[in-house]
Amino acid sequence: MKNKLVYIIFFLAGLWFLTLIVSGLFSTDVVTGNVAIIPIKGVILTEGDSYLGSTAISSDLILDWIDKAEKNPNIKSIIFEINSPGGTALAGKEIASRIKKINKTSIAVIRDVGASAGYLVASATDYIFADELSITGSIGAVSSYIEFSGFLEKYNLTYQRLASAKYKEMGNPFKKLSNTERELILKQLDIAHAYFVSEVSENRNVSINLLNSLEGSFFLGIQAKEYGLIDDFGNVNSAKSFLSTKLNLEVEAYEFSYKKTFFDIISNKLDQFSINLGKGFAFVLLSENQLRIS
Amino acid sequence: MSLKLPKSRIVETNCSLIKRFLAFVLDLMILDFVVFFPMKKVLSSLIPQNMALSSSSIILGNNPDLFNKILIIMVYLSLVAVIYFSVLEYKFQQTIGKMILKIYIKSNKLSFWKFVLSNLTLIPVFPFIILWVVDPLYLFFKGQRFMEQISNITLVERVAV
Repeated sequence: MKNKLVYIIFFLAGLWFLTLIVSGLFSTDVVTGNVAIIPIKGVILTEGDSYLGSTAISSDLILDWIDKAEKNPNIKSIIFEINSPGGTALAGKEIASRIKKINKTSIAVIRDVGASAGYLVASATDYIFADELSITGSIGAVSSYIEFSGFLEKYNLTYQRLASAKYKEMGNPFKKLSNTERELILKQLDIAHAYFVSEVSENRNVSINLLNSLEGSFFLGIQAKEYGLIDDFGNVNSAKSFLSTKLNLEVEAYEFSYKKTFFDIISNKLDQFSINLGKGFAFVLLSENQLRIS
Repeated sequence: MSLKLPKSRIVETNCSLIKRFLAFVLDLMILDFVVFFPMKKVLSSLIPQNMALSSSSIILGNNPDLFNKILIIMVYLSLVAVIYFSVLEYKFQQTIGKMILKIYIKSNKLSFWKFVLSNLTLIPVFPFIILWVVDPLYLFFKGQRFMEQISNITLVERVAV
């Protein structure tokens, strides 16, 4: 009898353990609750999780999270928690376009900063919350870079230009930018700017003239509300209360999070190390010339 | 004065429908609370909740991925149930529910696959799902499940006469 009992207990424990393992295989896709929170933190890129040593987030990952949240019938709304200074135009556009296709209520909550591509993403949602002191706006495009041509010249280094076409190396930091090249790059930026402005104008129902008059400046939440760039002051809890009233539900939030692999951690450390190494070289070189860096 | 009554005899008879049903319910409760427990969170997050059946079926129809995932989990859980019933019946000729209700399985020759065959009714996919109708009807009219008949096993209880 005792053996029988022991056998049954071990047998049930074995089945339980097997089910636990199998449930683990499915749980990677599991989104619980009725409101999904998607964090958009750091520089927005199409790929990768680091940008010049800063935290970055890829549009691929965000799109994947949106898909998971949208496919789950229990999720009634998606909150985008934004803390991003911007990113690449394409990455911002990819996320914004996808948000516009969501057939559930989408809300943006801007934390410290939601500017440039970060604001483009926010503008695509149905409602934007930001703190009075959050930084937002910065509607425009940049393509600035450090030019090293003078530096090479100073150390008697020669850059051998081998290009098949006249403007093939436009924007290369080792050569001086000609006036024509500058005009061409600015023309591209104007196109990107016009696209950005027209998208925000359509998303937020704000006139293009007003957006153009802002001249790519950033604003605090207080000013942003006056210009119609945000809807209300608040944080994630305000967004939850808003949803609770609007959708008449008791909000149970599920927050997506990026799980770093061992490789990601090593890669980030190497990235940081390279940046510090570069800073060290620059410091030594500049010290030689008795210059100060702040 | 002692009465010289004949000794009571223990005989095996087909078990009653009520005992059979109660034993099955007890086994399902054990499976549900113990074995299936880790999968509950996964399932509850996938299956539409607080929704009319028609709305849920529309959502599942529009999401083949979601539907397939739920189907795979259901088939997995039914296979675990088949293993639970088959292993315990093969080893002890009783499941926990049957032990509590004091009923057991009788068979001429014990074979594990015989018990697997008799429990295929638990699998919720075609063609086994047909057995969900055939088995109870057969049980009602013949006192034995169709799959029990096929696998040549009988569910009995001991009574004193």
